[in-house]
Amino acid sequence: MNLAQLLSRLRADDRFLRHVTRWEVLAAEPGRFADWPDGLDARLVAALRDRGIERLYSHQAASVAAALAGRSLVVPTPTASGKTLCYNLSVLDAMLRDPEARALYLFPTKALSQDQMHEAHDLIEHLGAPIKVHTFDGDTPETARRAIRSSGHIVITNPDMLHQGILPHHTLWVKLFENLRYVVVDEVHQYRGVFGSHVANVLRRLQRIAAFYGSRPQFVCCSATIANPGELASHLCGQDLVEVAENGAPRGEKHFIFYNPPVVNAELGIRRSAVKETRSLAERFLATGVQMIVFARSRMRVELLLTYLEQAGRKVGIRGGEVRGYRGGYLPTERRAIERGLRDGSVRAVVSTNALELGIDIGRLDVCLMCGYAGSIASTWQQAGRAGRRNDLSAVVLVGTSSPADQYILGHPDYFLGRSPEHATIDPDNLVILMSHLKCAAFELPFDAGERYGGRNVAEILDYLARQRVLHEAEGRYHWMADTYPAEEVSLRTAAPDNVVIVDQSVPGHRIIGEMDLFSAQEMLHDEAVYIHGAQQYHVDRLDWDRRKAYVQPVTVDHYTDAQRKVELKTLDAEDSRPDDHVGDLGLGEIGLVDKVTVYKKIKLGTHENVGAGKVNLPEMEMHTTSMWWRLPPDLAEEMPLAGLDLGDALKGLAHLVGTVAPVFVMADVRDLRAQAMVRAPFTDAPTLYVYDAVPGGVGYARRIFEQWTEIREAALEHVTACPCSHGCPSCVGAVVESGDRAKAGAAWLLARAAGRHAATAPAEPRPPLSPN
Amino acid sequence: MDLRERLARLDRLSRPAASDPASDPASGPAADPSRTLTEALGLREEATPGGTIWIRRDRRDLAQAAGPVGDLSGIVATELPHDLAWSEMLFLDTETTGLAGGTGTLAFLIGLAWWEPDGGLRVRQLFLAGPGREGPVLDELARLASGFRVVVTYNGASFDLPLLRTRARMNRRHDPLGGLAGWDLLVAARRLWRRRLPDCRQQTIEAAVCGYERGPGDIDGALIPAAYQAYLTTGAAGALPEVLRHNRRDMEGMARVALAIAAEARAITDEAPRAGDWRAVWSRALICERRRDVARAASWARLLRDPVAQGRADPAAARDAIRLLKRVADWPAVRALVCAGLAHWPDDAHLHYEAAVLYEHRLRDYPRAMTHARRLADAHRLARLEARLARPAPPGCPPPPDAL
Ligand SMILES: [Zn+2]
Repeated sequence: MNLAQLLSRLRADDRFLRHVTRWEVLAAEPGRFADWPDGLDARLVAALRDRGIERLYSHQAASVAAALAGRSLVVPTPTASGKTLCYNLSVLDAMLRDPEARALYLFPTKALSQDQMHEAHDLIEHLGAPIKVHTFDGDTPETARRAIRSSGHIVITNPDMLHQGILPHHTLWVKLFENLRYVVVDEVHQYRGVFGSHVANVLRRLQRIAAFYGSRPQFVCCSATIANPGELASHLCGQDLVEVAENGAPRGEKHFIFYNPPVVNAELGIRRSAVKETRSLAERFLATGVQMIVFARSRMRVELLLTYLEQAGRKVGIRGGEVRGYRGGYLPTERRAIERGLRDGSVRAVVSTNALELGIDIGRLDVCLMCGYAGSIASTWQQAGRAGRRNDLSAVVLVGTSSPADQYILGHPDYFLGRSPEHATIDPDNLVILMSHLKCAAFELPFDAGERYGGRNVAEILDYLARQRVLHEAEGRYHWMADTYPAEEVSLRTAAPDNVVIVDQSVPGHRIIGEMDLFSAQEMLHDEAVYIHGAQQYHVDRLDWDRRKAYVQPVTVDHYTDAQRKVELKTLDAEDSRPDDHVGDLGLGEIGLVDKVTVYKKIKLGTHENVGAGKVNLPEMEMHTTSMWWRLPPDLAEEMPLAGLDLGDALKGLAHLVGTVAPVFVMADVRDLRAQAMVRAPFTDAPTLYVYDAVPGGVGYARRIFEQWTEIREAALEHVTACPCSHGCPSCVGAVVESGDRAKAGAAWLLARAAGRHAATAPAEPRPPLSPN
Repeated sequence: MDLRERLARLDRLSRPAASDPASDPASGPAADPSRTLTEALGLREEATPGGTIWIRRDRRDLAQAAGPVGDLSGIVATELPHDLAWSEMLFLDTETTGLAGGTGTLAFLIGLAWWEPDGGLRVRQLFLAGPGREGPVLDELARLASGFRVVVTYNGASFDLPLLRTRARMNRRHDPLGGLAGWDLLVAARRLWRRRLPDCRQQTIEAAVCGYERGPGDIDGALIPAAYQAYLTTGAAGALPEVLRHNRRDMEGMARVALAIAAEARAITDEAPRAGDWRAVWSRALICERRRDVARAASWARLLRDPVAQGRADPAAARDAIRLLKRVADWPAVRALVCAGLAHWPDDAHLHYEAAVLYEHRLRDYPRAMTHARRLADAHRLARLEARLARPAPPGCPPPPDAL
């Protein structure tokens, strides 16, 4: 049986189809081509022809043309659409004309950097030009660094290295900065939220230094498909960019199947294990002789699925080495061998974490199975893009887990298949982040009084830093004056400079396994907490709050801990407001939170039973952040009981629901956002839902939700209405034990009112008591 | 909410600053700090084409050595002019606002010293009045340096010199020391004395080798950045007089260390090898090897035989001596060292290896070679030795020398 036969058999299989929420057939599309851009160096055209490339895809040609015209640009580049030519051609063109020209490539990971270096090498070899390409990161040996600094034409690095290793030492990179023509930023959609807000500041510093050396580089950005690549990229680079719209790469027919495993427990929102479902699907596909990739979200799941597939493979005559695992922690040589095996067909199936979602070249496969939603639509499309050769049939199956985000996507494939709803958001002017980078920038070059940074006036912040004696102001300039190296104290991946370090004390000499911001640490690293890191459970023996250290050791237990946070929320400042369409009004502004973690529950894995509790003794935390709020009319408190509803339950359910749906629209992780409702908020004197950034100062999520509220509110209504549970589950308004038995009906009623509709169904009867079995 | 309020709030939220200079910045700089400061530090204001700079001039009674510096090859890392005279060296040491390196660290004091042709050490100190005033200081440094051939530092190759290059670039200037060869005394000190001293910090060498004691009150280097910061906030001299004195002592100490290095270099070249502190002998042997004077290196290495035999030396010295003696094919000496070494360090794999090679290839004593090869678990060598034992000696091959 081949792939086409298996697909038609599945299409006729009712037992399978029952759990398919959508079977979308994406028709084959031919490639769209364009002529060689005017002015592209003839040697490049010849080199490409030499490699069998006779024409460029339309998006490649448009990118090169924009760059040759001196513009910065952003181009959406789905997996395997030939994105490297979008930037390599203009960069090499500049170097053929001016042998001194330099370019800097930024990739979010080291593995990608390596891959891209080989890619560029290949083209340069065909050119026969003396152009040197080097990666520069933490692995670069000290002996090679000097040569790279002075003679590397293309330097490939990552934002962290640029931030800590290159910019603060710019005087060692004079050649690069004096001749910097291009900055290539790949995977820009990954630079969102806190990380993106930091990277935007790193790029501000980069441009400030380039200007000191008299250069003004053009930016070429590549992005996965998101709703606002142009907005994100221009915000990130601080300049207007040309947006290359269409993608001209061809594709074959692709079947995209959304598979939601059957419900096991509706009240708890638990479905049959995605791993098991993925396993049985994988076995069926493997038997057809296709080449396949299976994505799983954790290392543990990768290993589990790998074991299953090796067993299944043996039954159909597939040898051990033909099914491989791929994840962080494998040796580079091992990974290269697997990549090669995938390209030449000797590896039949690979089980991978998202390590293979990014642009590493593994050729193209026939089938992609995803055990769980990748966390964002953009990442899911990147994973799905691994399947599909130019002209052949391919299949993608997304198997949902029980998590609310998965259930949202499985329940609403239209969001997925239509125009992307995902808006990537950053706020480079978040005060904490901005200030961290102003310090780094002042370390790199003194600030002139009145100098603008990222287009804004920063005089007050510079004065503040001078008062803190970090800077010294003299004769109209602000000079770095502390005896520290500020970039070392700023991690691009966290919001607050102050972190708790997680120390594994089970190994001799102890080992640092990670860091966590203070707020999350109170919830996840309190004494006696079970903390999960890299699929391993750790028991927190002691949290030394004053020294910011959590001492842990690995354990295997059947429960996890869930800390209860008591949050006191104060509105500090309203910045914007407008009426909502039909009910209440919306606000945006700053809030203050006083947070205290007081108790935790032990919850059994799988069944989610409460199996114990404990007290937490930690100091209160204060945080200021940005929030949007939805103020509802106070008379709802009287009106709702008449309809058999409860305002408190409805608001609790609403908060849970919005907290589940909103992240999809703003490309946030569920942890980046919090929603909280109050029956009577002091500031509004009315029932109010607050949705705020879980990051000090905020990075723009709440603002984005304020702007897109109508869309998000409609999506929330649709989701709660369509959820198959009766009175609420973790996928929609939260479990009944948490939100109350009238949460689902109440939230739906409120949202329907707000949409100008009467509630579609009569309010549900109070839930019958749970039967003992 | 405006920025000012947010900043004030940030202040409240942030933990108390780790260090808080004792002085109160609110009181502001004193009325005319420069007058009292220059007096306190002994600085003179001088006009230069690029602006005013603050300089202090001193003279130390420290005579240069007679004659040229001599041959330092094998001791210095870089090539120095072979006809270098003592008066062509510029000693340099900087005091900085931090040790972090990178573009945000300033040299606020540049100490310079040289020998006048009439003898006597001249010391100049260029003090940075404020972080925006680096230009004329760097120009003055370049002007002074242009009269010299070599810049002498202690650990300057990796700290002071790159820092000054960075400052020059930040101020859009050429490297003020670009035309000078560099002599980093730390490299020489390590090669000569690392084996017999606990560390090679400048003050350790000064005391142990030159017998130069600095006297009381030398400021702890870790406090130097804070002293300059305090001056910038208050305008008062604070601990800066101690910093300048420390820097002058550094200059004099460097000159003394340079003299000691040159004396040691002459001893290695001119004196007949004679037993002494075994660690000094060992270092001298290695210096001669670096100079490619293998015969002399071997003569020093032979002197290690007794310390090894008495178990005073350490196995690394024995290994180095064996290597050097092999190069001059002095097999009796090699054998003596191997045997003496193994008597004291019976588990030293390297010595067993040397023994296995020696017995197999030089002495053709295969059974003994096998004993050592077994200790090394060297299967390849064992197999070869067994084959050799099984085979009768080829005709014409001399019998194994009985004993050496
Ligand atoms: Zn539900």
